[in-house]
Amino acid sequence: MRLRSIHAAKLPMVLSVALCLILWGGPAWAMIDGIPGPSFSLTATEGHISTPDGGSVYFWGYADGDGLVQYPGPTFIVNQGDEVTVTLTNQLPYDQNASILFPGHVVSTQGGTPGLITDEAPPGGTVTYTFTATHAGTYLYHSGTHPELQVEMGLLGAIIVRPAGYNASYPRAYQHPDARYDQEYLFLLSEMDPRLHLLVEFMGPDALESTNYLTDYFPNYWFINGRCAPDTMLMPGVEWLPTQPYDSMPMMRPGERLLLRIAGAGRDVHPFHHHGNHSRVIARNGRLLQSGPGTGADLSYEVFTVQSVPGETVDAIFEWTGQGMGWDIYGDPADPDYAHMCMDTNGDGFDDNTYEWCADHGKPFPVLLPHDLDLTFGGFWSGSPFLGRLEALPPGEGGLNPYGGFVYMWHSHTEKEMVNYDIFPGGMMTMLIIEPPGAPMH
Amino acid sequence: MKQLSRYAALLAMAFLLLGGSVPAIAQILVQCPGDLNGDSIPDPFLLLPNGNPSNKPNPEYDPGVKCMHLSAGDGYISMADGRSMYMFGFGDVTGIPEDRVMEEGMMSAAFPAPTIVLDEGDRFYLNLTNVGMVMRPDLFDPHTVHWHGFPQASSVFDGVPDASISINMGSTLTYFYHVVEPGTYMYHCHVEATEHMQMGMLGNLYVRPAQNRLPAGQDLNGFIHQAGYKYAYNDGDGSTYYDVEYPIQIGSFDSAFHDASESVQPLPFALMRDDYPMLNGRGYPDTIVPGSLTPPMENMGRVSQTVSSLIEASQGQKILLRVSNLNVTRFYTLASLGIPMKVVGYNARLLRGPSPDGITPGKDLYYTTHSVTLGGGEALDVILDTADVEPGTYFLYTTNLNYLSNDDDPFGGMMTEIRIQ
Amino acid sequence: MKLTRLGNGLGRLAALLLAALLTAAPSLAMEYNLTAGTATLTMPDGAQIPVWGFADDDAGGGVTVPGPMLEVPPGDSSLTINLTNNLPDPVSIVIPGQVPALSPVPFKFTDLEGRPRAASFTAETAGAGGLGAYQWNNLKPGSYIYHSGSNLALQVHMGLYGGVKIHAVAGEAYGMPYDNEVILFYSEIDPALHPDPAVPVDATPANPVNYKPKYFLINGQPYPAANAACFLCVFHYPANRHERRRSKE
Repeated sequence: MRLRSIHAAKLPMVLSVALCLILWGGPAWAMIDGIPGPSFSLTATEGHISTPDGGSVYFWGYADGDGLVQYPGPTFIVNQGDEVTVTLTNQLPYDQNASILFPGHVVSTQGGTPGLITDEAPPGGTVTYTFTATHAGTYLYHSGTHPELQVEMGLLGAIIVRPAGYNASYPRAYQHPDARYDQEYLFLLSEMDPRLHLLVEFMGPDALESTNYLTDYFPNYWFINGRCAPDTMLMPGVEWLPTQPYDSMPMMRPGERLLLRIAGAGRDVHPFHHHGNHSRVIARNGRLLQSGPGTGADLSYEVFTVQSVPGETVDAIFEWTGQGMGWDIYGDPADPDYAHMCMDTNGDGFDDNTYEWCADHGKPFPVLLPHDLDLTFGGFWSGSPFLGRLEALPPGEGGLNPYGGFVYMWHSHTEKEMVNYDIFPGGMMTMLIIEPPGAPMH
Repeated sequence: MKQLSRYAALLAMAFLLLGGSVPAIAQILVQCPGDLNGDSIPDPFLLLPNGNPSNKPNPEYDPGVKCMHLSAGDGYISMADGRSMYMFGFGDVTGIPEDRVMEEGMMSAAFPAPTIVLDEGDRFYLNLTNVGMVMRPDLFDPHTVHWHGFPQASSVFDGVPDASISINMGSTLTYFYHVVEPGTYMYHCHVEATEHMQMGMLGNLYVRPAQNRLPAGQDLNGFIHQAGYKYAYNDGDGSTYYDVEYPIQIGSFDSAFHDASESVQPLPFALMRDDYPMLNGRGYPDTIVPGSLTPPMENMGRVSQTVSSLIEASQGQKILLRVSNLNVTRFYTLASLGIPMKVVGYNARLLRGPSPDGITPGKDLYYTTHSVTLGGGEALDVILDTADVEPGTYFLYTTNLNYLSNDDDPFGGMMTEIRIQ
Repeated sequence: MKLTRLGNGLGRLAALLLAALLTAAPSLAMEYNLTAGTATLTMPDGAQIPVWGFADDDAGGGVTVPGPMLEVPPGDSSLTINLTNNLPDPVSIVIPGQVPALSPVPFKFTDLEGRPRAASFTAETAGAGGLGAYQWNNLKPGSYIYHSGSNLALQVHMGLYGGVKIHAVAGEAYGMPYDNEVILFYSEIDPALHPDPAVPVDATPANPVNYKPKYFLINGQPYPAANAACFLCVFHYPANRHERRRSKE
């Protein structure tokens, strides 16, 4: 008999451990980790990052004051209209000058020595940059000294500018309500060519002149927020990744609006594909896609893959309800184990709380799933196709999805970039978990 | 190498047929409402004992249901410079009875994978049977189908192995899709994505809009719909009307990776660099060969490349190109020389801003260009209007000019011809 | 690989006559006389790169990469390029985005497997002094690129490209008025794809699939430009520099 009987499952012990690992940590609301301004003090210095293939990669990065150097540099969170001041102290080795560029902003400098593109801090010295964050949005900052080398070495970071009138309880990316969201996540995309880092670490940057590593650039590590998968899915600030404090594991509930802030911080263009649904690109390069002031994002468009171009930022809103799936995502309401209601009092077609699509309420699961022995399970498979349900799995299977959420891979669709130096899986990849209503979030 | 692989293939086939490596629980099971004999084709009429249709309607038949049966396995294709290339792929085993699917499915892999064409509103049952790798009997990879871009997807049918389930050798997994949104999508295997996609498990997929089925004479804001008119999207004004359509799948292979896979070597992920750029699974001039290509000898007589990229139209016709990119290493730019491109759809959505009130159409975001740039996992819809174009032969080609070759065979690569009469 | 050349391309006179016959209404036409030839670029690190490029016969100054900037003033709806080809290989000219006046006649050869294959997107102008003409009518205004339509993987990389500015209204681009104009023409050089041009080649000498550019150019020069004052060279011709040729049909 092929029909799989579906039982409510008991939580295996291993799941509670996974629960602590995956879901604990981070702020109580899904806001992007960063440091508040409007004054910042950065130190450019050297360090090492870890990659999941056991690699330890030498890098140059920005540290918050005299804190630990990190990759990416600390995310600045400032408010529209702030006068932002960034003082940079240069502790880079090999006689390198250090500097910062703030694309999208008009910057004035104090101190430092004139460089090719901007004023720089000489070795051991400082330079100060000042700009007014005139527009809300998502921005980048990165080195302006030998950028072909220093940016790749890791001297990069993101800036979030909150719009005027920002209310953390009803957050918006820009002033217009079209930019409202419930959860926000930063996806800062970058790459590294380990040959380059190895050479600089042991021979210094001058040794690059006899190679073609800068023009024949061939990365083998790909990062979201400074980590390669599966480290992208660890909690922020784990102690065994001291120089890589940021995670990138988005979570949401059905019916919510999730803001993706995608920043192209590296050298390469990446097609960032978020499984699960389309998103609506509402802004690019810190500017709402609007036909005129106050019109809202009326020039926005939908994508399932965001083109992330180096030096550009994209803001997109992702929503999911399972509307139109054709079967009841919570199971058979007539089965006492799966009893649930779809109450739509405001007439929008969805349950007022769970955002279940009421037109699909009660529709049966459309196929028979194969026997367990015919299937290979993923770590995030709950054992059940229904949202919020778990079912018994063979020992050792699953375990990463203790609330039975729907899980989707968000990743670079240049699949070559889902590798950690010859080892699959890895690279520029993470997972979105859509938790059932009632499940704890961060 | 050829002799050795032929022997190994025969050995592998015998091994598999004897059930040596297939677990006892494995089952080929086709699920397709209205299908009475398990061949994944709905039967409008009840069947007679001899298997032929009777004249009694099948009460379970539903014209809104579409089914398909794909095999997942391996095979060979022919490159434009004459060499053969080992690949993994999906094959079309729709219509083959369940008890013959393993045998017929082996070495039935096609590149690109069989094109899936659906209509808005369909309920689509996709049966996926893992027939194993004939040339790599040491592999027991499961497979999935990921309908790339399917809106409001569920995990169970999304095909991502880490977040879901994948099907083992000798068994069938049935996917269900309630097809709500028209447009140009794509599909591929997502198991060990870097490997399986580089090896070729990639297909075209598109959905025709409900606007095609409007009654004749319907006024679409000034554009009068006639029977047989086709549109890319429910544009409401005929602006995505076209006469002929062609799916164009941008792809490329790394021959060193495929060779390593065939000869059971460690796979060189860290060195991956494609050297065979293709459209719909072929390099120029094979792209302009109409119909199927003669398969290489290693594929045991099974045709593996059936999708031509030759674009033909009469002057005045509108050509819809459903362009997608499924290569795993880089972005490509495709240009049209001599015929302007109008991009009307992007990522399976009409290129239009949001409606301010749910009724008024949003801002028109169509744009005219002569080149489009796509990374992996991107798709768009281009209409070529031949109204002011002189008859002749034009070109759709990559402006990444170094990819106008098949490895080191020049005057080839990612290029096809547009012939206007 | 065996190439069978079918004749030596359309003669300039024949092309013009044919264009005259097929062009519908009387119109104003801009005309340029270009020569395709060889040159050498010097990179800031001293490397000498053999290139192929276009020269404007009437302006003097020889072959440049990018080639001479072509300009079509307001009121002209047609562009003709008369080409003299001093290179060893046949070349042609195409402008992506513009529709050629005549039905294109790609140059095809038959390969060893008996398959017809295009070596050129349009009619070729034979090498070693051959003459050809290319015309586009109903020009769409804007910024475009012209480049060789023959053996693109080799020839365009070698430098056979340049810009075209087509004006609908003076001082406006796409309906937007502007005060100043700057040309940013991006290209790259992979020295491995630049063989000695004195040696005739039938195909790209190096495998183009392994394209690895070493030099990255704006307006034909990497930073720092040889002419330091000209880092962002503006390619424009003073109004009186070029006698405007108009032909009415």
